[in-house]
Amino acid sequence: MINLQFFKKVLAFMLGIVIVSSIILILNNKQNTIQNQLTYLSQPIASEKVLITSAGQSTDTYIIKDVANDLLLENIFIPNAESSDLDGVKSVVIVVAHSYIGEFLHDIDYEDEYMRVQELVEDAQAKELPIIGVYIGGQMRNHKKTKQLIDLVFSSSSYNFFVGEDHNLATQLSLETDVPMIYVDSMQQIKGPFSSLFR
Amino acid sequence: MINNKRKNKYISLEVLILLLLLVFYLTLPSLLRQSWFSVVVWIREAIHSGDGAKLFLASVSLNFTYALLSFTAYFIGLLLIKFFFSNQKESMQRFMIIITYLMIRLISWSFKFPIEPMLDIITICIVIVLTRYARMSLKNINAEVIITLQIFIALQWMNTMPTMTSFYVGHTELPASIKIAGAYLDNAVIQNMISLAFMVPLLLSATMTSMRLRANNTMMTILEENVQKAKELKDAQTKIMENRVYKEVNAMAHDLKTPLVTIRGLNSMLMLSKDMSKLVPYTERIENAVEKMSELISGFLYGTHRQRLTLGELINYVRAQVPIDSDSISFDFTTEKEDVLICGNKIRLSRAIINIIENAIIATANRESRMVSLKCTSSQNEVLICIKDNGNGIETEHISQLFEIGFSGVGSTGLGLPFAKQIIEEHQGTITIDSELDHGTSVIINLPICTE
Repeated sequence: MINLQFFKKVLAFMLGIVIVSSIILILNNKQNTIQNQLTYLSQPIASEKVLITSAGQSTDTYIIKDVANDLLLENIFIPNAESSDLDGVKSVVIVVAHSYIGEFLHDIDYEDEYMRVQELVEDAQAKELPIIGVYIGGQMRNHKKTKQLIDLVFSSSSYNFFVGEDHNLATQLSLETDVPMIYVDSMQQIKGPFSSLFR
Repeated sequence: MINNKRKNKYISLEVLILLLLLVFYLTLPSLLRQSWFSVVVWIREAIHSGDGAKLFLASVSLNFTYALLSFTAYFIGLLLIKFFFSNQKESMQRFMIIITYLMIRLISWSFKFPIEPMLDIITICIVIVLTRYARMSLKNINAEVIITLQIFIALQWMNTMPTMTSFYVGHTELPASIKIAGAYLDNAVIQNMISLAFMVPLLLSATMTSMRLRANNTMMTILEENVQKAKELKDAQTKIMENRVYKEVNAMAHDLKTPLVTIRGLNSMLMLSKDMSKLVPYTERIENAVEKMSELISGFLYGTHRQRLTLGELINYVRAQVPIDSDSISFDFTTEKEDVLICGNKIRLSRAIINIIENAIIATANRESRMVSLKCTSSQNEVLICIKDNGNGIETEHISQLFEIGFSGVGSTGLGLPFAKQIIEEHQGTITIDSELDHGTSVIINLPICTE
């Protein structure tokens, strides 16, 4: 009798997990079926050679570097690039997302990082280099320091690139600045729109 | 004074343990930083090489370090309440542990610890459910640690489940990096499945452990209740025994008074008498009375004391002490040869027979016509005393248990028959029980006849 009750409870528990997982997966699948209207530019706004750098030292920068390599874009990848690194480049891609661990790894603090990005943006503007601000963190990286860096980069850039399902943040960013923005829902769809910025 | 010193010593030890744990907790992010650096490196390598296995490595490392952080906070709360609030109610203690845990997490958040508030709430809810289900108390802290550690490790896997992102889980830096990299590598389904593959078995294991502990705790409660009942029963039996001794002392005092009255009467007669010829018979009778008193006292004081007494004397003594408190019982005492001599302790033998008669009286309680008889017969070598009742009788399988201490077929203390058996056997006699269900019971005592 006790064993039967025990198995009933275990069965009910497992059934609960299966039901909840199924609901989550179904909801998730629905989101995936939303048709995305990808944005492709009629003509490129930037050219190679591209400096890819980070604002916040998150690992997201490595994704853009990988995308650029896949697209065979001539690029140099310096996560903590400074003004002197702008020599010889024709455009700058700044991937924004704040990371404490990244800062530790590069032995800098947030203030240093903010100053570096600010100087880099100002120098790039002075050299009339097109700046492409990229944010691929979606809602997960939407924190205070990331927002400050987004505000800094996205307001000074030539074109912005937003990846993620955070529609509210995307709308808010596009309203805050006059800079045109490419919005992509899924990470798998980065390459086409990103390529159209250069070719 | 000594107790106070010892108590203070324990308190300082407990404070020291808690402080050490707190220091450990606060230094954990620094200690784990190298591991988190490795996580970042694995993520970079995964993006560069397109190898999802590196993300799996990063997830394992991250989830274990996050589990260690959150579990240490819970453990501090647990020990704090166990050490300093052990006098509180169980539910209050649980509430205080949760509040302490959430406060530690909130404070550590201000120190830039990676905190997942939603995951903490989910974890605490499951901890509450399973610890309540297992009926755990803080006395058994090992069991608590086993269950909660499994829950903490299991649920940290939600951090790296892309599905849980929309539920505000896994929003701190490293889980977010793993999930973003996973999305880029089109690895989201695999990440979900791997996280589930770790989470579900661990949660099931925690549930099974709590079920096992619940069964164990229930068993322990029953055992404790049984021990308590046994103790109460023993106390009750001791009281009954004391009461019985008191009754016997009363009976003996009464018996002692009879020869005293005789001595007093004869003595006053001696004082009044001027006939010197009566001096010898009176003093002889006084001597007899003193001898009787002495035997009574010896019989009561020394279990090994033996005296020669006739069967009639024994039965008369028994008859005088049988507790007849109802007119509805019919007693029948028959002795064929009253002058047969037996050698024994009158007080103890009579007590043994009275015990059997008392049982017989109780056994007939449900009968309309209640009958108890005592019949004495004798052969050449032995005396046979048969006590019979018309009660409910005893089931055959229980007859052999009747002489075990504590066993009773009639709701008594279960001491009477074992005592009677011991006394009869001390007198080289035997005692047997013959019973028929719904017809009654016969107890037969055999005692050797005194030949010396």
